[in-house]
Amino acid sequence: MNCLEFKTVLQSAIETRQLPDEEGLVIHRRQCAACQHDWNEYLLLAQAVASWKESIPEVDLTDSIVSRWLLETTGPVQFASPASSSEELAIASTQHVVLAPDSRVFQRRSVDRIRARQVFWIPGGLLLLFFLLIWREPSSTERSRLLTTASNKTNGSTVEPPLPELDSLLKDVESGYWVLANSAASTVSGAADLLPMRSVGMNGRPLFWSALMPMSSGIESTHPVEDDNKPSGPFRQGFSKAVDLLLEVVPAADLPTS
Amino acid sequence: MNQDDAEVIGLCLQGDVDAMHQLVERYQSAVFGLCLRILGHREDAEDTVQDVFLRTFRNLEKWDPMRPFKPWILTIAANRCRTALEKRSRQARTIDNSMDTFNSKHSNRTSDRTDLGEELDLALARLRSDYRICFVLFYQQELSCADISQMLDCPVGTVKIWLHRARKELAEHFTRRGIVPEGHYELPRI
Repeated sequence: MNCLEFKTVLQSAIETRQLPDEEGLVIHRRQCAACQHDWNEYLLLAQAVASWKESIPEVDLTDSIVSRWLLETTGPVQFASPASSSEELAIASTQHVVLAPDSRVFQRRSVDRIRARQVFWIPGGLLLLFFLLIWREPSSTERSRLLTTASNKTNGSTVEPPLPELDSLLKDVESGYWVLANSAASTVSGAADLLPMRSVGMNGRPLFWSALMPMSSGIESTHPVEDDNKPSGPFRQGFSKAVDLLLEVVPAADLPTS
Repeated sequence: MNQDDAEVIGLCLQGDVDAMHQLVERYQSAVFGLCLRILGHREDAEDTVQDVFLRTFRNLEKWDPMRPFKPWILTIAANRCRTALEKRSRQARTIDNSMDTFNSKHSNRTSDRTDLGEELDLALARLRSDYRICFVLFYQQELSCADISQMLDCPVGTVKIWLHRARKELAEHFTRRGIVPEGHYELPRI
């Protein structure tokens, strides 16, 4: 017997749980240290398994398993109150009373109803919260109304400003607008020195007039200026100064005749 | 096919409580032994046994009466033990502490047959779960490699390799612990 045959016999003995032919193996394992080592391992494991299989403790879970199964299939178990009339009644009262399956079905329906309510109430609440937030936030319509009110005030109408903050804001915007217009007029008056005044436009007027007159007339018509205390005062002064300057600079022959 | 098992299971399906008691009494030792050896913890094993029987009752209609009942319920038990071991590993619950306690308690004792079984339990707890389940099914439940391969849904060759590796690792554990086979011991039938 060689090592391969020894291992085959040993493996077969392990798998079939049959005792190996020890007489045939003993000669080989006395000659081969590796096979002797395998034999010792096999022997040691056989002894360990034999003692290991004997050491399983006893257990009795029958009642708990069956009661749990009955509880699962038939419903919750209620304990009856102890009776005191007689010993037999006292013993009988300790028995478990199993609820009818109908009660379990009813409990399931109740749970389903609660879940259905949750399904409807949670999104409904979120939707209501969303609408509340939308209602608190000023809408674009509200903003346009406020701006229309501010515009009416600028045009001299008698509509009261809805908010004092908005009124002050409109005043700032208005003064800023007139400061900007004044600056523009000053710039035009300064630029009058540089423009060629002898150029004639299509309607017979110099190009300078054709450029300035519509601007001045437009401003005068839309923003009538009564006194110099108004924000339009500086603009008017700047514009008049520019015109006077031009009248002095431009020769009389070059002025329009009409 | 075990005709008696089929009759008892038929009664169980009809709601006979006595038949349920009978079925549990008949197989609880095998299931408990498997769970205890695989899990290595008595309370966990008892919980798993209850879970196994409840699942068995739930799926009793799926049992094929033409096949033996014991491998079927042991398959459920092995799967539940696998699940319990995975849950235990996720909870990082190691048994090293209990191992150290065991080692210090038994370090000065000489090995006899009882200690050899405890040493095997100790070594099994350190095995990979696949090797452990395979070893317990083969040596304790005395199932064949073909049955184990069907239960664990893996090839027979894989089962043989797992068994071989399990034996090797257990033998190495015994060698490290200085345990040698008794010369006068009569070779048991395993």
